[in-house]
Amino acid sequence: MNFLLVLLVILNIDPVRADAPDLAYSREWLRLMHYQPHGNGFKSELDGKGFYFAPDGRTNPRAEIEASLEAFKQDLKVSRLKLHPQCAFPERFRFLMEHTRADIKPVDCPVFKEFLSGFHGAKATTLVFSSAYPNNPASMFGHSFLKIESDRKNELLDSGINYAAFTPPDANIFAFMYLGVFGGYQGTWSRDPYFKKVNDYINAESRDLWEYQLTLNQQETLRLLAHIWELEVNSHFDYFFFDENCSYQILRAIEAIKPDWNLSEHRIYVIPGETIKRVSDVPGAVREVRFRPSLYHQLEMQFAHLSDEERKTYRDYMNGKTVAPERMSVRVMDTLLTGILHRKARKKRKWSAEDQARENQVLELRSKNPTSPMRIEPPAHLLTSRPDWGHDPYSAHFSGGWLERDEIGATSLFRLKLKSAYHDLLAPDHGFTPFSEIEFPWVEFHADKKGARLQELGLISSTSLFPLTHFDQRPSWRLRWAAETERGRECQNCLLPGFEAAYGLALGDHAYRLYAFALGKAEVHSQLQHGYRLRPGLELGWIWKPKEKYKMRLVGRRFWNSIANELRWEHSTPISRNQELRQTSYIHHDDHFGRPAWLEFRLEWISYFR
Amino acid sequence: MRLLATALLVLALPMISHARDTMDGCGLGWEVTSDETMIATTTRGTTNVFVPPAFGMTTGTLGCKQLSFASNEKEAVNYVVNNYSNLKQQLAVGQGEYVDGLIEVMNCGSADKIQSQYDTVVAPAKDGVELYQNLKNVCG
Repeated sequence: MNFLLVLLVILNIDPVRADAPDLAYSREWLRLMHYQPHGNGFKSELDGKGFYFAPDGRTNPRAEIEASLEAFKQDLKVSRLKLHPQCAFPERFRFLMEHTRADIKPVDCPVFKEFLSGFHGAKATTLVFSSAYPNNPASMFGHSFLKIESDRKNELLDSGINYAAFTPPDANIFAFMYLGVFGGYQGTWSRDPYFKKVNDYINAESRDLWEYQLTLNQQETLRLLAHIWELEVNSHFDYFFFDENCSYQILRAIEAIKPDWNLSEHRIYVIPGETIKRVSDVPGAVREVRFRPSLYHQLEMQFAHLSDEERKTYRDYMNGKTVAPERMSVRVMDTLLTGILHRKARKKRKWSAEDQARENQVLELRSKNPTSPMRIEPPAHLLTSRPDWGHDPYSAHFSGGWLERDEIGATSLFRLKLKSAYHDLLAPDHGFTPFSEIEFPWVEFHADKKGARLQELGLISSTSLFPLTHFDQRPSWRLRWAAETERGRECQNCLLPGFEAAYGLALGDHAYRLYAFALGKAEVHSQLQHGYRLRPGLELGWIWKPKEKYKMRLVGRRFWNSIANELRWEHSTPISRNQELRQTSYIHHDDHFGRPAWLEFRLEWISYFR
Repeated sequence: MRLLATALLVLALPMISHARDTMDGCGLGWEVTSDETMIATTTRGTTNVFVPPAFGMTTGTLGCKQLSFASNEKEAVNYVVNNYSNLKQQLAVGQGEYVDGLIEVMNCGSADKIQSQYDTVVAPAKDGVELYQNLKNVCG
């Protein structure tokens, strides 16, 4: 077929000649065809075959215009679905008909039309961001997908479009990570009714959804669908977890329809929450932002409105006690129903016939009462977690202060820390899941009168402080993998690679967390006594956020087996979305001396950037 | 070489056939998503592929029951089956987003009517399919 096309192209007189000479290199065409600059020319981002008609179409935008126009005239069968080229590439066909003088008779495309009709009068496009799983800060990077709005009233009847790696469901986790990072999976576009998305995220996984309605009009929405269609039926991208992932390809598809919007530029990786910021940064790109609280948050909101007496009724019923019907106010019943849904989602297959019978009791009682449920608006602390309000992912930390180390005495101290992502416990919580932490590679240098050194080299650190409540009890935890320069005397100035795991419980509400961790720390170094050191420990912490612009943390840690105590007291305040000031006081004590081995007081300025 | 390829193919077959199952949209999409993993969102791609042969929407928790519905009923069945728990609750409450969606997708009268018949229409339904059939009698 390629040979035939080459022949046709050679024989045919250039159909584009009378048009603007730079159509082939116009932003519209380059984006529609997924070309990226490569050396002096361009290269396609598509990894599958089938998207280009010209033999050198992957690298030659001009040849591809000619070959595409030629193919649109032919009665060929292309794509996975053996369609006429005009039907396999409806958006490309529309674009070339609009921008060239080619005179090509359009053909009818029943399969494509049927596909479009499944969207029930698609009229608008929304970019949806799902927040982290409760108790899993590693998922704070989030996920994004598209919602195509139909001409029907109820949003649940809209459609969701997802881009994800196509993986066998039984893939083991190591293969999954390896193949995912190195592009071993093909990306696949899929479509679901929006109610299924809501069920998956809001109900089953208890993740909030943020809906950013874009200003794409009806025509542009249809063109976006046509473009995704031509990507999916003809070819594919390899899926890369870090960069060419769900968010990236969705943005690239939107850019193909809105070439003036610059959305997809990135450094190393693409974080879904960051792509929401990209879109919000384009003037006029977002029409409206809507929030759908997770089931967990719905329950939290309803529970907050109950009186003490009603809370007791709620607890009694959920604990399996018999409750007199007159104690069941509408508010209690409605909260119970949400609580039961939440428990059902958590129990999954362990949901028993007895559980169901207790739900049925509430349902039957509730059905006798025609009172409307109470309308509850989401509280401010949930609304401030919208992803476009968050600080940027990369950060540079500059700090200076005073240090007293046992072997060198008092000195001034300078620190520089560089971090590639994302959010720590003292950072302002706007735009993020509050009281959770995920830090990705970072490096920290110190300079004092003894000279400069590498103080810390971190790979990952993640902390979840999940408060115990009547309606959800989960452990809090931390995992941390970093090399740190020893502060005690056991291994002076050693850079100790170590792994720390902590497990415990937290209490709190939107303004504070009190937590207790049992922890274990394993470190290796040739100068340690056995070449390694294993230390059990205990950590108690208090994080307090009395107002939006101030956070305080007080943490005490004690390690056994080479006894060491640490006390840290910190304050932080944001001065703008991407700037923050911190103050830290720190004491490290170990069993070699009666007096502190390390005493530090410093001021820190943090600049977030992307 | 050929031997190796054959061996690989034999090893890969269960995987391929498994993947095919998920593409038929026979309840497995729900199975995949209900298992919490750190990266569950990415496995969700298996539920429903954009284009034929799995052209339509997932049948969700129908659970591979052999059921026959008219093609114009497919969406409504799918809606009731997938939203069974939420729908049952909101039908007892008498209003809500799921009820609004039901009224639109089934062309039903009003939610009050269903709430007043909760004991006969909603309560006896043991699953989404039964609920759909009972609702059809009220709405139709």
